Amino acid sequence: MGMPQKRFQRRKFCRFCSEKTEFIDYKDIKLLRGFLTERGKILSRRMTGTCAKHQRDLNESIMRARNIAILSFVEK
Amino acid sequence: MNIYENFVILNASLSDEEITAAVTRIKDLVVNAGGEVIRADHWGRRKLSYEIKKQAKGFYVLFVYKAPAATIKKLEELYKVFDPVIKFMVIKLGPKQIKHLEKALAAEAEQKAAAAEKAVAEKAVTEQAVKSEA
Ligand SMILES: [Zn+2]
Repeated sequence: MGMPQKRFQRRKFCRFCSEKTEFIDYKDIKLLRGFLTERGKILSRRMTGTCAKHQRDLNESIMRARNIAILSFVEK
Repeated sequence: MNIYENFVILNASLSDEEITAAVTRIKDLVVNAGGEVIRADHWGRRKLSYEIKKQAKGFYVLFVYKAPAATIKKLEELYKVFDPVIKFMVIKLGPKQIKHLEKALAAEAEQKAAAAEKAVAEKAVTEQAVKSEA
């Protein structure tokens, strides 16, 4: 039994694998926000259950969204 | 030929006419350099998540092109010296993204056709009503 999580429920399965997501769209801010902390930092794979491949895609999408300022680097 | 997605953030303080002129200049460059503009969606003025060139807001335009790599090179050269542009990002689409785009374009075309058909049908109904009243 692990320590109880404060905000995030640990997930066992990769959401993108189970939903058969074709690709992660960097324009989908609502989706990306679900994988960030309140301060805008990327949540770890362990926290979200995302598989290694999809975590890489997710990271790339988040970087792109930050690049065009539709997501911030750090939430104030 | 590749498919590219290109976000351009224009200075939000520009007038609508100046925005249109800037978008036209970008489209013209792509076409003149052997590309095709598939999409030019105005997302409009939005708050930036962080300041860029001392700007808090930007006017977002999302372009999609079918073009050879050389066209994109020319485009990027323009952006670097084109004052209305405060930021840009060009992405080459992968096969899955292209498939998704094609589906979206087909769905939009279908919707447009359905809307046109509906308008014609409604017009016919109205004409019928007018006739029966008279
Ligand atoms: Zn996965």
